[in-house]
Amino acid sequence: MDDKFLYQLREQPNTGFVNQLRKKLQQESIAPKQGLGGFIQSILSNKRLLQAAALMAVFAIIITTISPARALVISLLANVGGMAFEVTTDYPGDHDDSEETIWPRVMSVDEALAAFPHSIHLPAGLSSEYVLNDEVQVYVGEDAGPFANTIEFEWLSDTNRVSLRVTDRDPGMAEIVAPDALEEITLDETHPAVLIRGGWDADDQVWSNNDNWIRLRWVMDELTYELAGPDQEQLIAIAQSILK
Amino acid sequence: MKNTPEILWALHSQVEPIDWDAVYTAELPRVYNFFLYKVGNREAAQDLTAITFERAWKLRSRYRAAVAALPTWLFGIARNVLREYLRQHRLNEQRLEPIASREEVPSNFDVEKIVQQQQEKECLRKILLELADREQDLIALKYGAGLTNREIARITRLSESNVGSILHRTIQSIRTKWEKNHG
Repeated sequence: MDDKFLYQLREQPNTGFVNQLRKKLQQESIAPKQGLGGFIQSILSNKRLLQAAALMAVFAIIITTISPARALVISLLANVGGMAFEVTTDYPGDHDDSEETIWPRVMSVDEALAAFPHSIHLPAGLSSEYVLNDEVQVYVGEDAGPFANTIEFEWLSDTNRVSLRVTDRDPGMAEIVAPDALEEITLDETHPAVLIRGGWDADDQVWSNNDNWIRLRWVMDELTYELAGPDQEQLIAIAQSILK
Repeated sequence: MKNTPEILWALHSQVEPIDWDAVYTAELPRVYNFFLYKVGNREAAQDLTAITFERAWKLRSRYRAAVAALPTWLFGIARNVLREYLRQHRLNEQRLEPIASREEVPSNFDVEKIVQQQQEKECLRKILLELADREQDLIALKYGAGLTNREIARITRLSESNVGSILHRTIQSIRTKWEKNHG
């Protein structure tokens, strides 16, 4: 199909604008560079620091040339239960205020199931003390941005809460977790899964291994299911009821 | 699943630091033209481009090549910036400001030809601005930013074949209106 006419609105951005913006971005990046320059200068003027720097350089060469050592230093990309995780001890940073918060639509269970573009399995294994909340959070449509298509149910008892999140987001989209957070299990012969214990603590900027909140994630019919709740055995039983 | 070039890009960027200056040079015209196609207004396109790059520069230490390819990440920011902007401004009136009003005119200009080109651009812009949001988005990403259907699919979370068929239908519809005006 001849679509060349559609390119005619394209134009080169104004050179003055391009240069001005480049300069502005470079200026914002200069501060740490100047700091680094000062640091290097202080090393060169101090013999002990120079020796320490030389040792660090040798260490850097070793860890970047010997692959097992390099693998320990670079945050690891791990595939657990068929899902990708970036494993690191470094706190990944806080949510930036300038980033847009994407809010879900809240619908009844029936409306949510109709709005979600995939057929999904709901659990049958919850005890009668748990009641399915009829306010389901749904991320669909263009407004949902990177969260589309995701749906989240919750079951409430007097003391506990269990949630189920289902999404068609690529399971290769790596979540950043701490090294001890993951455990691979199998739900049945064809469904590996991963238990994720804890989460990042924004106050202390470390991973908090909070056993009261466990997530169980697996992939089924090209959808990623994630149950969350306080009781690991209960989550596994619910997950197995979803498989049936 | 990630395709091979994305995996290679991810592995490469784990070893090689990203040349952000080169990213700026390569991506700025694409981001600018994406906005130009979306809002049809040169000044607004510049403002939105600047906001996008400032935000991207601020967040660049958190960019993870293993999670998303660079255009996916950058245009994700651009689309968020646009969404915020459209929410804040009632853009419809601004969109219709003639895009060619400040174009430089060569000394040996052919008045008739230039007027005709400007009219064609104006007509096309009006057709684009009348499109539904999703169709307009895909046209801006394809013809403004020059992205491939695969890249557009990753940015919009549509399937690649869905992007292809929506674009095909949209181009046919634009062409019909275009020919009606130029027939």
